[in-house]
Amino acid sequence: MPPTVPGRSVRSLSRRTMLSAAILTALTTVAATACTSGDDTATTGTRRTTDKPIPVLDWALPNAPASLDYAKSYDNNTTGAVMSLVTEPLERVSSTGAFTPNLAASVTQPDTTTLVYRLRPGLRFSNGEELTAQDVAWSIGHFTAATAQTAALGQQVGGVSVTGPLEVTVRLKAPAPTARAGIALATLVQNAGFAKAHAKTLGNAGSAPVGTGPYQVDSQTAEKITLVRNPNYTRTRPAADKVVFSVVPDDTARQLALRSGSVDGGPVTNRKSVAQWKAVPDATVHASPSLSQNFLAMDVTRAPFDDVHVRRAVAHSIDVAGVMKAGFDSYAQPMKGLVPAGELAGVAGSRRTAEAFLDGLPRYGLSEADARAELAKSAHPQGFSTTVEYVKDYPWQEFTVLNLQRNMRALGVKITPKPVTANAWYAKFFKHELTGITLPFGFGASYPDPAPLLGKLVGGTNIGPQKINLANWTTPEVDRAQQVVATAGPRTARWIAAQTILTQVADQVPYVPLFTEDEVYVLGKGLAFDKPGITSFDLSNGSWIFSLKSTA
Amino acid sequence: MSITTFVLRRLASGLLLLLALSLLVFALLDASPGSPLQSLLGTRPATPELVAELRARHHLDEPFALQYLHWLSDAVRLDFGRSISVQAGTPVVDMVYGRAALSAELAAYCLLLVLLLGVPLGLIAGIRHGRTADRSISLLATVGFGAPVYALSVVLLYVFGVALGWFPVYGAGEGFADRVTHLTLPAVALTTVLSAVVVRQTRAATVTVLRQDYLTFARLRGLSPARVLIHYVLRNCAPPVVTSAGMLLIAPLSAGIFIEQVFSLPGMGSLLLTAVAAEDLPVVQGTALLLGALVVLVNLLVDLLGFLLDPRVRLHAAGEH
Repeated sequence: MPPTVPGRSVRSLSRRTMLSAAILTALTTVAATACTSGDDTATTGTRRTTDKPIPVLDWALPNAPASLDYAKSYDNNTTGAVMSLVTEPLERVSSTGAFTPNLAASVTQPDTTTLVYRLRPGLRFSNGEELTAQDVAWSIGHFTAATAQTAALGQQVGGVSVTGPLEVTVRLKAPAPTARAGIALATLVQNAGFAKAHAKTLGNAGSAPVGTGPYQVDSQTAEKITLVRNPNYTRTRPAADKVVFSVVPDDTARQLALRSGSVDGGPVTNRKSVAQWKAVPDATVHASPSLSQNFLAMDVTRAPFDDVHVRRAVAHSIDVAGVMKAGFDSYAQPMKGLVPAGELAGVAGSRRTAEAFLDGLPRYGLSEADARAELAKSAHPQGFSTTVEYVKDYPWQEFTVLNLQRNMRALGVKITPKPVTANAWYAKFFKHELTGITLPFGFGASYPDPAPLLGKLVGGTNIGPQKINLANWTTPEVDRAQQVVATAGPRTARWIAAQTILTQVADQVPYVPLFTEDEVYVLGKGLAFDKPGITSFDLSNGSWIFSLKSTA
Repeated sequence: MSITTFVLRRLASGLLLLLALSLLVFALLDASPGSPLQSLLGTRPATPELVAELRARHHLDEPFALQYLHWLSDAVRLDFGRSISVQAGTPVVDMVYGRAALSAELAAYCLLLVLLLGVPLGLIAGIRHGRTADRSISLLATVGFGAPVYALSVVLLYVFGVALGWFPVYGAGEGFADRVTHLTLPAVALTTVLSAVVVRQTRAATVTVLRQDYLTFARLRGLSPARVLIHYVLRNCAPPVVTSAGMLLIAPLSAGIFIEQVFSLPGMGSLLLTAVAAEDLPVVQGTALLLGALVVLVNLLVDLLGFLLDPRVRLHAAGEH
């Protein structure tokens, strides 16, 4: 409530307010300086780990999980991190695409559309019941159901059946290169009996899924989730006796919590603040490239973007490095093709081969002269007007649109930025109603293979509602290549097809690749991973807790 | 006018206000960008099953007025539907339950600190009108009033949570003592900002009362300074102070949105903020309406206290009648 004061006092108030602001600014600066004045070398070195138990591990979450049922909340940083310690996957998939057996002792593929899972004997849920093939079959069905958030990972699953006491067979609708990975990533096996008995409330407080993992949910509030050891877990145990997931939404508050020793680690959501995190005494920051993809799409079926020269002019008008720096500091990597090298390494044979190929693709660097020259060759040499929608929750989108608006103004192109909500964007996305220039967000391959995204961003079969060829772009050659990429088959053939698509995308520019975001995690004093770092794959498959060791 | 009539009249006007608020809150569904169905779908794919379920549950095929009546009849039974994205599938009322208690505790703690700090300081400033004490207190009040809540919270966290380690850095704590410890820094941050209002109100009321003839007569009658202060000054200062203190009960719910976020307190404010960011419409509707009801209730209590404390209000009400 503003104080009602006469004019003289208003001026006085103004000075006083300025004084208070100045004092606070000074104090905040002191706090911020303290947050950025640590020993940087201490945060980057590798630490010696021991097998000493960790009595309590407190891991900060940026927000409370929407549900503890992964089918209702497919979020690696929250539900994935928590529930992969309680409910386990059949196999663990790494960021490089390697499989490690877990609940399934073996997985065989007798033909291109059948997967057979043979389960380890003698595993028990935390409620004492034995793990059965029925539990696994129910769980696969639960996570691949059309209404599940994880449905996209299991969309090739045609049917699941119990074919032996400890055997489950999955029939695929078609030979899919990522079906096995999709099931491994989505299915955190639950006790089917408990899940059915709590069908309506599964995942809510008091109805956490029951699993076979090293921990069980002890309590769940809006503030924190506490896991304690599962007494029926008999395999190699992680070092932490108890794991607490504390919800600390504010980035600065999370830093202060780590600094005070109240939390032991967590994800760094604001990449611009990594320098401050690194300055926390004895903290270790782990950054690694992710499979995320930020790019710009142009609808090639409508003017002016049906003209390849217009699209190239747009590509020449984006300062990718500048947008990256503004949005993520140095914690993002420019993309040389429509997909990052990590998604191609498997079909290319090695990451180096994939990178060499991407290095050879045509580039469209920031250049007003080149943009002007391309526009002059187009059907719109005097420019055009267009509106570009962006979602304010993703600052890089706004930076990109504003950058494009400014750089193209000199060419006679009028770009009008229009903020929209994520829901409004999704509504158009699902109906396939996004036109003109589109800036998708949250895109990333679930598995390091070109099928999940490259195989869906192009081709005639991927145009329409619930499909993601946002540019509505294809050619006969690309259509053929897309079928090969999206279908299980010989690696070499899929690699050739992927190269065909990427080469044509680079030439025709229906999409402008921008950058991938790094995944950044931080660990506090007395803790270290026994490997260089962790990724979201480790976080969502539960292996991260086994890597976490004491340094005391 | 009897106290019953007074309460009934205030209740009726409060209910009318709530009804208007409920209409506005419900209209959010129609006013949101895109169709109501899109708002309710959130980021979920529009599968035929989900679309059919949402259409049936929210009566989307019926006219707006009927949709509103269905929603209102559920709302009066505290059924605001289920969360779309903040806690998918959880009834909104279940989400609000524990959080409302925490916000209420923070508001009460804050009110206690404000009254313990703000009223005495305001009295001192009023009594020492124009002197150094008055100027110092007024300066402090202005600094507090102008302090950016977020920056102040971070400074408090750093100084008392990290550097000195006296208070926890995040969370609400469990059990009475732990809860008090956890709520101290957020309450101090809020108090710093809000007590300025009480200091100014109390000071202004004190200065006015001190100039009244009845106070001069009281002194001339030889009454002790303590009796003059308590029976004459404090009592006559009470109505405006009670009014501002009532507003302070509500203020933590708005200023508290940022406080709860910074101090990681799962209260009503942080729930509303999360729901707005996640575009979780049922949660936004439920929390907004419940907060509105709380504001109406607090205003009613303030009016009632004013009625009891100030004979002029009673006389005025009787005259109206």
